[in-house]
Amino acid sequence: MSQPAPILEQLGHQWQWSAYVLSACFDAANNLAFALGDGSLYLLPAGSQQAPGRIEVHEGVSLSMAAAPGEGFVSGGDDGRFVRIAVDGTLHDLATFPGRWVDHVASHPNGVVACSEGKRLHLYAEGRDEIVREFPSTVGGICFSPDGYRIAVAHYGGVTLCSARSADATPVPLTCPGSHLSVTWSPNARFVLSAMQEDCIHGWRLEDKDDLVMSGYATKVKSWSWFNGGRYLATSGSNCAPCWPFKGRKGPKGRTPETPGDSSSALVTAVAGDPAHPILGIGYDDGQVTVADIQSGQEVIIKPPGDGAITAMAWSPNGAWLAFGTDKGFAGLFPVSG
Amino acid sequence: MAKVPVTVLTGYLGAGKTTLLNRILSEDHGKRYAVIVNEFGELGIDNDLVVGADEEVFEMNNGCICCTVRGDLIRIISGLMKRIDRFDAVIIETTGLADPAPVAQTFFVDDDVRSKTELDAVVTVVDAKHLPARLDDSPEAAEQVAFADVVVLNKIDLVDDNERQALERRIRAINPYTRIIAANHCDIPLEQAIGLGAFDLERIISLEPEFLSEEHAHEHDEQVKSISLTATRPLLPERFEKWIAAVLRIDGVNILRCKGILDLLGQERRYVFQSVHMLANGTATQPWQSDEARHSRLVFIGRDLDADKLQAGFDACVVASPTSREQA
Repeated sequence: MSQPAPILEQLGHQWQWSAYVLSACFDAANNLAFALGDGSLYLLPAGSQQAPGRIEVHEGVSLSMAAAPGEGFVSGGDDGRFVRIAVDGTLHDLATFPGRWVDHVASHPNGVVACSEGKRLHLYAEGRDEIVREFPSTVGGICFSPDGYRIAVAHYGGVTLCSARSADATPVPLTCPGSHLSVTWSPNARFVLSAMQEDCIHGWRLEDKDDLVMSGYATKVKSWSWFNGGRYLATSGSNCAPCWPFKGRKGPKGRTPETPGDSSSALVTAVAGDPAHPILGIGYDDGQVTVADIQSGQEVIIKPPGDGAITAMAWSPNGAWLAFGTDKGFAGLFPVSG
Repeated sequence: MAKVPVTVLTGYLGAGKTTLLNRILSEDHGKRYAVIVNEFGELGIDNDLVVGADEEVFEMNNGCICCTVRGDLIRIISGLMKRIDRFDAVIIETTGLADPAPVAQTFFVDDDVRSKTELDAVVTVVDAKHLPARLDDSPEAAEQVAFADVVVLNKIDLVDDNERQALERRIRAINPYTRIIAANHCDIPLEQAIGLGAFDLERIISLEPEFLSEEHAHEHDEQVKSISLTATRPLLPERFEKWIAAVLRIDGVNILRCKGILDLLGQERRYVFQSVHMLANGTATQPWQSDEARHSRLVFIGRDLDADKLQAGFDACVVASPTSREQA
C-alpha cells in the first residue's frame, strides 16, 4: 500500500537547493526570502506562483537577515557587507566593513536599520548621521524596542539598552554574568529577554529590572517567536517547544510554559507562531515540521522527518504562510490560514 | 558527516609559530584550511580562509571557576560550519602568552562546536634555545607544553646533543604523552601536525606505552608534572566515576589535563577518558583484544599533584581479587 503524499507536497510548495538554509523571513508586505550558506538569497514576491528567484548577495554566508523597513530585506555577511535587497532583486550596500563579519542585523518599520560587526553596533536612518557604539565584548544579538526608539544589545555580561536616535543618550545596562547570544523585546515593551550560552533565557522586567530565568533547556535557545498577539514567546532548544506566557504584569514569573510538540526522539530547532492566533509551527532536528494549536492541543504533521534539520522558520505577517528550511538546502512553504 | 578536525597552535612569541602558519598557508598541500588568527599580519592566503579572532575568554556562568571558554571561537566556528565550502581542517592560532585551556574547553562545552568539529591536536612550537628559560620564568610556557599533543622543538641547530636530550627529558617530565619533533624553521612534515587524530588517545598510548611506566630522571623539579597510574585488574565503574568526579571537582584547577584508557569491570570495550581542568568526557571505544593485557592507564598532568593520594584513590577503584571479572 502506498503512503499518501505528505501534506506539504499536496497543499504547499517545496524546493531543494544546494546550501544550508540559514534563515527565512517575511517582510511587512508578505514577500518571502530565504538566506543560504553559499551567500545567495531566494526571494519569493507575495502572491507569486513561480519558484523563488535566486539572487547572489554575499561572497561567503549571510550571517543574519531581517525584513527591511517597508519592503525588502537587509542582510549581513562574512564578506563584511551590510546589504539591502529590494523585492525586485536589486542590491544596495548600506555599509561595508572589510575583513570583518557582519554578525547581526535588525530593522524597525520607522526606517532605522542596524548591524553589528565584532564589538560595534552601527545604526543608520534616513537623514541622520550614522551612530556607532562600541561594547566591551562581541555583540551577541540586537533587537529594536517595539516603538523603535531604543535598541537592545546582547553581549558578554548582559544586555545594554541604547537610544536608536542619539549617540549621546546614556545607555541602560541590564547585567547578568555569562555570555548572552541573542536578545528579544516583548511586543508589549515591558520585557527584554536574552538567550544564553548556559542553555537558558534570562529576562528583565524593565519597569523595576526584576530578573527572570527560564531554564530546563537541553541546548541553547536559537529560535524564538512572539505569537498570538504577543501573549506567548515560543522557544526552541528542548524536546518540546516551551511557550512562555507574557500576559499581565508578571510575565512568566512563577508560571509554567505551555509545552506543545513533545517528541521522544527529536529536538526542537526552530519555531514560528501565528502573529494573531495561538498556533505554532515547530521544526525538529530530524526534519519534521508540525503545526500545533496550543489551546486545543491539536497537532498536525505537515512535513515528515528527513531532508536535514530544520534551521529556519517564519510565519507571514498576514497569517497565511509558514516557511521553513533545513541545513541540507530543503525549503518549504505551507498555507496555514483558516 | 565526519567532524572537521581542529588544530590549536600555541607557542611563545618568536618560537616560530608564524613560520609554521605561513607554511601551512602557502604550501601546495592540496587541502583547504580555515585559519583563525589573532592578527592578519603578513600571511599569504590563496586557497585558504583566514579569519581574525578576538581572543575573548569568557567564564561560563555554571559555578565552575576554571571553566572558561573562547566566546569568539564558538561564534566563528558556528559561522564557518554554515558555509557551503567544507574545510579539511580548522587551525586556531593562539597568542604567545595564552593559556590553552579555554580553547580546549570550548570543544568540551559548546554543543554546536562539539557536533561539527573535534579537537585534533594541540601543537606547541618552542624555541630550543630559550625553552629552559621560559619554563623557569613563566607558568604559561609549562602549560603550553602540558597541553601539547605535539611539541615542535624548533631552532634545533642552536643547541648541541646534550642540551637537546636534556630538553626532551624536561618536556617528557611535564608531558609524557607528547610527540616531540625537532625542526629548523618549523620544517616538519605538515601531516605530523595537522589531521593527526592526536586526541585519539588510544593511538598515542598504544604507540608509546613506555612513557607510561618509565620513571623519568630529571634534573629540574618542574611545577607542572605528570603522574601515571596503572592497574592490571579491572576498575569498578561506579567507584571510578565517583572518585574521578571528586578529584576533578576538588583539584580540577590544578589538573591541566587527564587522559586514560581504562578496563572497566563488566565492559568488553575500552573506556577512554580525558579532561581539561574540571571538564571531562569518557567514551567506550573498540573492544579489548583477546591477546592483549587489559591494563588500565591514567595520567594526570598538573601542578601540585599529590601522587600518593591519587594513587591511593585510584587503587581503591580496582577490584579486590583477580577472579572478580568471572563473577561479574
